[in-house]
Amino acid sequence: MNTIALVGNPNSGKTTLFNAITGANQHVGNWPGVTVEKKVGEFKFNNKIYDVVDLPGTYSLGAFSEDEVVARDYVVKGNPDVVINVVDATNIERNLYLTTQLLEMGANVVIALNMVDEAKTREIEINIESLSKNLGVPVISTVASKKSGVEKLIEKTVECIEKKSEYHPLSYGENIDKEIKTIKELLKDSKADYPADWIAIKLLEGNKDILEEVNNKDVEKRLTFLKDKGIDYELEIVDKRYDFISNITKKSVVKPDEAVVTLSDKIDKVITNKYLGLPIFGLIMFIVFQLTFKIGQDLLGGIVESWIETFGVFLSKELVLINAPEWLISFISDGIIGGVGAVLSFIPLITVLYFFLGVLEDTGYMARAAYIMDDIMRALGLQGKTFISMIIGFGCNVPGIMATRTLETKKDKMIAILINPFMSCGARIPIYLVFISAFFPEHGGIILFILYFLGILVALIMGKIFSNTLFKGESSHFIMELPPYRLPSFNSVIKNMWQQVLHFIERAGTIIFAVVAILWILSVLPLGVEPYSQASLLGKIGTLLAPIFKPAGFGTWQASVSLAAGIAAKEAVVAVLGMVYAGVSEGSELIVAIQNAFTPLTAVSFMVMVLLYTPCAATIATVKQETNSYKWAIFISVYTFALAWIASVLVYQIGSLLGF
Amino acid sequence: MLKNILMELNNSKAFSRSNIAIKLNITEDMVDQLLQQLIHMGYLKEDLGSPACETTCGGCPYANMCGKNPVTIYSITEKGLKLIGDN
Repeated sequence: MNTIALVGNPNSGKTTLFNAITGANQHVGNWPGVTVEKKVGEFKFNNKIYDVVDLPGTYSLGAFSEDEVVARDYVVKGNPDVVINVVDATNIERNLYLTTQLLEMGANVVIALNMVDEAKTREIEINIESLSKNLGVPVISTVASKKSGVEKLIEKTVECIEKKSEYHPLSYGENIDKEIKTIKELLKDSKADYPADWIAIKLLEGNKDILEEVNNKDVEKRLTFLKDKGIDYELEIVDKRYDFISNITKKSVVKPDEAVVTLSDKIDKVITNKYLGLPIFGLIMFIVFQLTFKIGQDLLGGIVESWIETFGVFLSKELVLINAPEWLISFISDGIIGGVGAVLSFIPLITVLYFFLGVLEDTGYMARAAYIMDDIMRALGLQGKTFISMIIGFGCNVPGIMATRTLETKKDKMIAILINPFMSCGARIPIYLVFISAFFPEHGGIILFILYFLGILVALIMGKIFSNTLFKGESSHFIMELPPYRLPSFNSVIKNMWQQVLHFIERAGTIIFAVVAILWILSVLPLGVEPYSQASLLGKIGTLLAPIFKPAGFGTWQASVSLAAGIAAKEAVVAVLGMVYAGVSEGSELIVAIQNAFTPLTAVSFMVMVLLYTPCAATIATVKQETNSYKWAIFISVYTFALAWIASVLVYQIGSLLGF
Repeated sequence: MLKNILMELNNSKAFSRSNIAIKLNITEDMVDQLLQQLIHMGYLKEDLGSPACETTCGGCPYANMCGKNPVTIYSITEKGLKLIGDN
């Protein structure tokens, strides 16, 4: 019985075609010795039955996977009468690579040019006649899903069983062709099952699998000789295959808008321009922050806050009605509603910010922003790849630091770790927002923009200092891909935004809740003391710390204790301020309390401190884990605090001198 | 073609597939295929910035925040640099 093998790239429609040819006449097993599925079927044509074997989908016939080896061995050792090569017409260049390898093997190939309907929709025109002529094998267009062209394919396949296509070996250039001849000569007495031409090519490509199978000392000697002379034909052979494919597709395939400067490239000439790139980046980010405030704060800001207020009042009343103990009422209304509620009230703003950042990311602009940043980093002698961990750090410093694992040298990795905490993570946003709402409600976008910018600036300066002092050495070269611009996908933007907001809510409900609970206990102890007063344990701890922050203008016990709590998790700063200043539910009371306790200048000084000071506990633990050293975990905690303190003091002292 | 792409990359800080396609007079699909081939053969390394973690994302509290890097970057391996240097 005649056998036909079906071979093609994954997703080329090979299995659909197999089903269209064989119908229900098929059974499934396994290829011997491997876990790769073997599908065999049959069809009847002119009263004769033909076997069809569906080979595993593969991009090439090397030895990189079980699928490749199974397909390769069957084509060569299984002696199928015809090999139907299923080629996806919408992705012809990639698919023809396998075709060239089948031709190298001298297989009796018939090409099923599948999905021609989809290719037509994409305005890809393929000249079947020219393609067939240039490849030297029959080409039949099919749409396997509609069973279109299948009859003709079967007819041609059966015809080819009787009349095999003429074998035209590819030329790999004079040197390689000569070497193929030499190896073929050495293989004259070889008993290997593969065709000699193909074996020679594979050996010159460095295929160890075939070398073992051939087991020929003379060939081994010849290959060692070539290697010792530094001759490596692998790339040249593969290159010749692509030349062959490129030449054929140039003659036989026409695609829309080929070889024209795309709109993306035209936009990039301006967006990534050496002089315009950075100002445009700044302007875009400024607009994003402005819009975030206009929509997230001015339009939607009060909604969640009023819900929390209403819920807080309702809960307090209910607790009073059921005669709940006073401490429980205080804990729930002051601690949970006042603390955790203060954090949650910023959900609208966070949501809007992540929506706009998601839109920027989805359009492909963030890659350009990274490119613009990279230019500056290189100018400062830093490893440009560091920006990846910096971008991730804007979401959260923990994965930002984890992302430094992809940096090759210790120098690059250590610098990237040490500067990552200056990237203003999402958890710090509520703190800025409280102070912006209290003092600069009209200029929220500008203040937020300046804070983010300041974080990047400090990171770059510190990176440069570390690069020149602690970690000297060369950084490796890399290249960035600028993907084409595209309209953002609504689903993708919403999904990304939702994940970030969910993370924010999760933290509020877990770690912030726990911190607030502990600090609430400290704020009502020792028993009998006035809650949230300086006489409480929390007040005493704050009073102890307050002198440190006095030169920065916010040497109050409340501010000090909130900063200390922020080391557990940054959002806790707001939660603690909410608890110790505002107490019961009223969200706006926190703003009023902040206005009374701070001045615009001390508010700026406090925000600078929050931006730069000691990272949260999870980040410190990640630094320990990534550097495998307590030394660096302590170092990052101390140096960031020292830097933040100096910056805050400078802001306050210079501001005071200038009369602010 | 493979060497040309590698040299083109080595001389750039950033690239777009369409730009390389124009420079080398090939299609964008071919550029895509050649980049994959260079990675496959060990001349080029693709880096998406996601950490290679020992724990699975399912058990990680930072999974949602991770791997959000919008940039694909490539670096030419020593094998690749040797090839360009030889030519």
